[in-house]
Amino acid sequence: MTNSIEIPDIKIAFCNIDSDTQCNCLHGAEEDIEHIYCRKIDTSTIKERDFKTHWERGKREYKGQTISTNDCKAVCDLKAISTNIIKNNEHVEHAIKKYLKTCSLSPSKAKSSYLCKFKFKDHAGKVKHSPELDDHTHYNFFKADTFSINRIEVISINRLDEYVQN
Amino acid sequence: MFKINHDPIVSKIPIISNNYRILHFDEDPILFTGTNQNGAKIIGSFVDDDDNEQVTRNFHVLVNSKQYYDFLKQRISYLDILKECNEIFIIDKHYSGGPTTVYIILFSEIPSDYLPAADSLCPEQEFTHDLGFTLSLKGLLADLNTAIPKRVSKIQTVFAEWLESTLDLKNFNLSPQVVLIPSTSGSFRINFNVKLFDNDSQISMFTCDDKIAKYLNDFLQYCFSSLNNDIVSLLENNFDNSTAFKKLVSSFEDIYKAAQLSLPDKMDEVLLNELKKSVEKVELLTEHIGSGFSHIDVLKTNEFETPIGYLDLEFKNAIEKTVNYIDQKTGELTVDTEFTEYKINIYHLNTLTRTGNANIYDNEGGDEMSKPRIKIIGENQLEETKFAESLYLNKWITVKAKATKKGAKFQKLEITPDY
Repeated sequence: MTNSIEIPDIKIAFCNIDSDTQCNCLHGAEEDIEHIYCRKIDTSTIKERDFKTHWERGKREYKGQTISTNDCKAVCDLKAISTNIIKNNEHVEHAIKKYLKTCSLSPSKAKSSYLCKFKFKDHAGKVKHSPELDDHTHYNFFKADTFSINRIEVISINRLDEYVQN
Repeated sequence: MFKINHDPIVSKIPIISNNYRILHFDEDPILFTGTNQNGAKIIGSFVDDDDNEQVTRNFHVLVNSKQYYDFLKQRISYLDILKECNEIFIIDKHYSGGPTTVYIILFSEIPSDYLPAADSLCPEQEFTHDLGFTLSLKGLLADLNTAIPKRVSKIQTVFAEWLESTLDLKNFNLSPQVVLIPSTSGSFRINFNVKLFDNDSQISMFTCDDKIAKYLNDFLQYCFSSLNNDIVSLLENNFDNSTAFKKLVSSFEDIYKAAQLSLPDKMDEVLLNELKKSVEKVELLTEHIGSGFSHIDVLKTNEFETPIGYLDLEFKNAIEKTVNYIDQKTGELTVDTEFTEYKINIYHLNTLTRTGNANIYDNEGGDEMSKPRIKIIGENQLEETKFAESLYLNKWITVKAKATKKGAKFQKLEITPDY
């Protein structure tokens, strides 16, 4: 007789994403613990608020319009965290260019003036390629119910203005 | 968020109700545009948000066609726009999409921490390209939704011919046909669409349509935005000086590559010839600016009506200089160095712009006549002068002018009023 303990597959849950909507936001989304991503954050250390979604903050306006719950593109984008994938130097330059343009147009956004490069750890959540017209490296990150910033592996955090060429 | 020392106002003027378009997005719409219920253009930007108050704050400014065009073309910054407009609307909107509060402040009241940077140019926009265009006549009579039929007819004809001739591409057997689309309400608008008919079944237009649309859009934009600046270099065959010209060459080449046809030799020179053929048509398009309408907005009729040209008196003068420069450089034009006596009969005169047209015999005692454009220099009133007399009484008058001639034909007369 052997004593073997069956370890059940841990499936990460996304009740927070799926609740209060009929939309299937996770369709096409996958876990990715391999690639590096980046995001603008407020300070030199990441905090939970750096990964708070618009939906969690109470925002229900999307691209100038108040959303209806049937508008799945809007609902899913509001329930996701925006991030850009970095596979090469071109991607890095693209992300920095986007963030610097944001800061030039809206200085209050310069409060988030640090660029954080990171990887997701397992069970952090799922990502989905969600390109915009001028932002082809944009991904939506859907947090698992158990997400916390401990599921983020920080690669580097640098001030954005360090990337400005003199 | 910064404190506002004004009471809110009740106004729909700064509210975007149509044509909402995001120019830069980064988790929120950072820069955007649209029109209000009266069709006035608005540019807006993200200012701040407050999770405790659950409010998003944006700036909205009302801009005219020129400001809008110059901003989209990256000629002026967003900071410049705010300064020029001076009155800035603050729109505070609840996160839930609920109540909106509107304030109006002056540029000087914006805290320095919230001012956009000096280099806050509009990001480059990616457009979808199609073959629809709108000429929108603005100002003067046009704002009353009226226009002189003969002038509108000329603009329609010139623009349609220009579009068709631009698509007369070597090695393609296209038969472009420009059609008019019913006009819409608002200031006087003429809508065009180009239909492409392929006479050569061996080239599939399916692979080329989008490339042809892009080329046509780029060609028109180049003529409106860059040609006047580049003409000197281009006529000296310095084709590498202009980024805009190189972009146009690239669009031109893409058509042939998509159709898997060999590129014409010396693409730069081929394109330069096309531009030289076009420039007189562009000049004709602007002929009546200042008389009935103050400017023409040239728009792509895609989802957002993107401006591709703003043709005002300044542009009209610049394109005239370009036409003259090309004619002089190609040895076709001669210009009097001194004011010379001529006999003319004025049949068209705009007393506001001091320009018009006259009949003049090519040679004294001859039968052949030219119909040059005339410009009467100076600022004194033209009513009750011999010029008005010639116009209204169909009289031949003697003037002193510097004539511009192409061969034997008079092109232009610059008339001094002091004779």
